[in-house]
Amino acid sequence: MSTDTSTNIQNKEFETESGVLATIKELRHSGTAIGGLLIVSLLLVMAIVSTVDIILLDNAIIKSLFGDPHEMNSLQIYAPPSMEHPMGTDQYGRDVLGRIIYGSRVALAIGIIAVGIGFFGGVTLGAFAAYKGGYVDDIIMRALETLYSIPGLVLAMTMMAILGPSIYNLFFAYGIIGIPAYARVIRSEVLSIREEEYIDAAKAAGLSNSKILFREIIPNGLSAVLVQATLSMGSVIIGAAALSFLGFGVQPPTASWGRMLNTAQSALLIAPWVAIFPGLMIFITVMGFNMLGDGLRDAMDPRTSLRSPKMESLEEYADRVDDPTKADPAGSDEWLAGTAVSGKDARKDATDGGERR
Amino acid sequence: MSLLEVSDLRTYFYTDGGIVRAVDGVDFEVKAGESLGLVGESGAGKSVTVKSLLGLIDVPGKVVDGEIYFDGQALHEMSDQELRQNVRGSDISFVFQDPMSALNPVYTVGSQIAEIVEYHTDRTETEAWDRAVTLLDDVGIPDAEQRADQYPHEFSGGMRQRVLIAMALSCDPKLIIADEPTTALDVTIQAQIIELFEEIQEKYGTAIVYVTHDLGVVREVCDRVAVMYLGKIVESAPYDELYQDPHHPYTQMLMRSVVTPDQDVSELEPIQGTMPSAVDPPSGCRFRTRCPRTFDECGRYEPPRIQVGENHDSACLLHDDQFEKEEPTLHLGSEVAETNSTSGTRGAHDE
Repeated sequence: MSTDTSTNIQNKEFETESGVLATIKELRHSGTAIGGLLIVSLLLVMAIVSTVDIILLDNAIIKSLFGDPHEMNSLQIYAPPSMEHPMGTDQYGRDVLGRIIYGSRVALAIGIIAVGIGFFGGVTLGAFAAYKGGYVDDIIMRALETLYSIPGLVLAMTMMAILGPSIYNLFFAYGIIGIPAYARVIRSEVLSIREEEYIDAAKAAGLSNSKILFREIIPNGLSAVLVQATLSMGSVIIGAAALSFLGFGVQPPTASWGRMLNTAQSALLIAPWVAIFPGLMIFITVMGFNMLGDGLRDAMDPRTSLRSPKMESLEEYADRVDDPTKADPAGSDEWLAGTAVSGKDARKDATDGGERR
Repeated sequence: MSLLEVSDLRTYFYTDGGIVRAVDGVDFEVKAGESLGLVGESGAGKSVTVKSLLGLIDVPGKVVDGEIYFDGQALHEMSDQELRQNVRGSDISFVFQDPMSALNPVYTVGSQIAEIVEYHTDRTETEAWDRAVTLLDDVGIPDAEQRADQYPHEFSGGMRQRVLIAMALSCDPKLIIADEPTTALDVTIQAQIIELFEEIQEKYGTAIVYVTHDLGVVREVCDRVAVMYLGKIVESAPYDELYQDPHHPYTQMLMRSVVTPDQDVSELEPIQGTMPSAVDPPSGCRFRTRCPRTFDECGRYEPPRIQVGENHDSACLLHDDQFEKEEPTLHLGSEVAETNSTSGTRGAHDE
């Protein structure tokens, strides 16, 4: 009993996310979302491997595969794609593929850290504003909307110009820029959740304001912000690449896709591969995040179901009746057998119907 | 000594359409272990009254006047924080009307109860969880240990109401305020929940304020009844006495509008008209606009609550000697006249 209970308590934090978890489970019915998830996972693997490689193995992996992405080779300047350099080399003879893999680290770090700053800052501010209401709400939201009204790239460039170009300032700048969007989303969620009876119940139970806000309200509104976060991941990566392209962001010799595009433009005609591959990577990454975000949004919208209802439910139904352990123990076997057949038939019919059409 | 003593409670809502006098001078008391039914039609101010006790009125509402003494503490003088730490959820707990929406959908029911226990007592997480399981078992949830680990959507309405009651009991309150706890349930489940309240009262000796518009429910649960009309208590009496001998015209009409098994439906008499707006209540007696026995003085004086029996009072000028001779003038059916004469003499006698 006591061990059971302690596991229950330990699992509590995990289980609080059940709304989010259920949504993620729902995602498996969406092809787009799975595609997005694959792209994002691939990027994640690339980023993790290159990070491990840099920190622990002193570039051993990348060297053994393509050569050091920071190592210059004056004999191999602008070498076209070949077996040795699958994506060619750049103006210093550095391997483009190696640099792209290393660049994924920077792109993802910017995506995750900047979105993280925006997410937590936005959720806290927006939820606080909505919960307090009145002039607190007005002050916070008007300030954030002012921030929101300035185009992101212009604001980022200004901030980078003031703070000085460095990757940490890049995180910071894009984090700040993201705050208003999250704040607005969570605010509207909180405003509606605040009226729910369980919030009144929590108040009547004597819970403190902060506990009500963070334990009762925010977990219920989190799913909408999560979609916003995934969708904005792509735009943050593009924005960061744009800043690096303009020279404000990541500084050489760190490999970053935006930076690579910047240096590639001078040789666009003689060595297009130096520009094409980083550009392609940015495109794929952003698309991956957007596909995932779209899938998440659909999964969370109660009006749309990602499953195709007819096919899936019948299949599940047939599976369920086939499996005696899952079948209704009260029902007779004969009855079950009958439905199992009819279930399968119905499914077949549905398939046939689909093919005929 | 009374557990809860409320005097001259006034809660107003400052809306664009004017000041809504939702609760306008309410006095009542609850003794330890007693159950009081607060009865009235929708909009009479029952819920606002009980929410005012715990300072749960949100803007634009405000408790503008009144004294609330609970167990020797002056609740009306406490800050929000003091109420939170010492009263809400621990000494006085609340059961809400709609069990479907009064539980947070993202937490298991066990952890929701444990949270409150942990917050108000010194218990550790594990102890709080054990307490939650015990409570769920106490309120009649089978397999409490497994069920504690489930989410609200996995419970039926009646079971959720049981969970809410378990939550209300979690810190051994001296008073439970139940705000129409059976209204959202179907009749068979209602009976079970009412039974549960009776059991709780027997077992723990908790005082209960039971807000309802259902006189049948009141009969089951309550020792005493206070009838509210438009922000005021018009009559208060032990249930049996009120049932047999209602004094206030409103209570009499209320009794006649309730279906009882041994009654022909054709005998039912709905109360004519609707309750006037609390923004601009009628002068004098607030019920006079719908009262069949209203007379001129009704608009001039606000009737005080006149003692008409032991523990029985009614706020109607008819009970006052001074006006007793006055002939009731308007819309007077013979049946009403009969009741009138008995209640009138009786009121006069007690005065």
